[in-house]
Amino acid sequence: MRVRSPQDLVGGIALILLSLLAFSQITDLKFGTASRMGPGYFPTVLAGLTGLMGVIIAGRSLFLDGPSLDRLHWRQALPILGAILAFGLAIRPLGLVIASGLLFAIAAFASPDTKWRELLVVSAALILFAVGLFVLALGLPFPLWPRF
Amino acid sequence: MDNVFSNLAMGFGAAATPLNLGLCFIGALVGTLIGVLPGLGPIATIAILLPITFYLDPLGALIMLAGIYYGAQYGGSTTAILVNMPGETSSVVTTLDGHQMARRGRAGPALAIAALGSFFAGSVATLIVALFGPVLAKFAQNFGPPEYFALMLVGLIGATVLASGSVVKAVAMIIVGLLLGSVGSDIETGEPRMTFGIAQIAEGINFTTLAVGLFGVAEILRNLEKTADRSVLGAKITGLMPTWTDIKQSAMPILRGTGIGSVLGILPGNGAVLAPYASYTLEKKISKTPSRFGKGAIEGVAGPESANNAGAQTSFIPLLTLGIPPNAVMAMMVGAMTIQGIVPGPQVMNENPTLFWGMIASMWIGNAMLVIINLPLVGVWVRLLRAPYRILFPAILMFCCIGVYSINSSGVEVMLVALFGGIGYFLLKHGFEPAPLLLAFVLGPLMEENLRRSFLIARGDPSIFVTRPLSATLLVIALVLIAVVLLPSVRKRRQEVFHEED
Repeated sequence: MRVRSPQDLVGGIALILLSLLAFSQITDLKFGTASRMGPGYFPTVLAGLTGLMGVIIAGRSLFLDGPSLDRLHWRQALPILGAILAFGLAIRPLGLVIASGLLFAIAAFASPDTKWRELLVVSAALILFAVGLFVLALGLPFPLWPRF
Repeated sequence: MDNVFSNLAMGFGAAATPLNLGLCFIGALVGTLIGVLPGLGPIATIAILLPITFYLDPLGALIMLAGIYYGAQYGGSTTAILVNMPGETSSVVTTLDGHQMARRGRAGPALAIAALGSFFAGSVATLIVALFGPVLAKFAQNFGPPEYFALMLVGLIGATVLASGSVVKAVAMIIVGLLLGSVGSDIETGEPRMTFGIAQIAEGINFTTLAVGLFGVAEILRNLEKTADRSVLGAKITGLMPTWTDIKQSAMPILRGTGIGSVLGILPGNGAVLAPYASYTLEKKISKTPSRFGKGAIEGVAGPESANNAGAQTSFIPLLTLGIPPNAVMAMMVGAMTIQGIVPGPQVMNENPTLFWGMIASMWIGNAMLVIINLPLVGVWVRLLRAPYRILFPAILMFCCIGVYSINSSGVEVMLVALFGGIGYFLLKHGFEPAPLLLAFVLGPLMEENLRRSFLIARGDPSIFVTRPLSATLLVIALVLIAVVLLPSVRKRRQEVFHEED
């Protein structure tokens, strides 16, 4: 047996895992009957269908030709996702200015042609712009600096 | 008929206040900007700006967001013509002849015809929305839960027919979208469902968070992979004015494109994406000299550009009259209306007539502004195209984070963006389209509610869906759509159409 469409195989397996994850969360919800559907009715049907689609997509990867796996570019993906996580963690305790600074510094590793001087200028300009637009003009309740 | 005009007059009154004109202009400007820049689409942009609209009044918010959507259709053609790279998916076809015209030193007329054709199409389509909207809304007032459920089913199936790529995978995305939509507390009992104990999703996954992650962040990741070189046509654009021959050659394609776009835009799925293909194919087929196509035929610019703008405009019809979004961008508009406390549906027109007519009037105003934004200012946009991506993506990323944080002042919400961004990247890498997922995510809770109500009315008897004539008709349409997509000849044709897109 040869895998003809690796993309579909991985995608299908991911759907099956998602379906299992959903099932693990809805087992204790009441299913109900068709005339009186419980909270679990709709999610159970959908989780089942998700699993079914996963089986179909993974199954057909053995019979239908499809594209091979695309390389995941971790060197780009990790800094970007990390930068967002850092912003989320930092915004509350450290404030908008430092959180944005962290965001730019980490995200910069994703780009192959980062020029650090330029980054510094662009970051400063963007932070000023954000403070002006969101805090001064729109009056959003953002912490600007760390609170001690 | 008289009524339509008095209503339109009221709409113009509401849309022409200084604030709303300003918001319309900002929307059109931002739309053009993101349309010009490849790699930032209207879905991501609207998602990022959605939290800000909370601070505006409902009409102003919708005017601005709508402007972004149709503005992007204008901006996308500029990049297509000058760089041979579509700024938006809807302007892919424009690269074929538009860029060839630019290479032959006729960038000016190509840009002018694209803008003027779009303006004409936008004006006609706005009028269509004004004429047909009320009729459809009136019709929809007879809809009960079974009809709404059937209608949404048609919408979702339609979205798979018109989705690019594999049908099976589009169906899978719709089911996942529905599943994600059912996360949160149950509508009747309030019990938490699939919340993993995370407080931030106890009331359901936030729409903006999901959209920003799936579209905004995943797009950045995809763009960073490509070290695309953008060779902007260096030559100065001289002479915007098309010649008399150009205008004569373009007139009929613009008319036909407007017709095709208006019809396809109303259909569920992504009419505005499909319309330009249909228009281009038609123009090439009926042309006396089809060999000119692909070598700078102005008809190949005029038709598709009119079609995509008309489609963008008429896709507001299902949203404004039925409350059902036909595509992912309209799903974002549902999100915007919900933030403002407006339940989309046929009742909007009666309960909130200034909103309905004001928005329609603003579309015409916005289209007029776009001609001015795009033609004389084209030099500015060209310069913007030269901005390197390493400067653009941190800015986009920052707006994503700040936008999501401002919804609930929650850092966890921002971290969820990273999760959805990762998921979006995985989907793109494995041939899954995120647009049907977002559409289903919005429709999911509505579908569940209407399904449960229908069964409650019928005491658990599923025949309620086929004994009521309207819902039976809708279900037949759904079946026909499924049959159509499974037909071998249609499958082959679909593959051809969407293959050219890549």
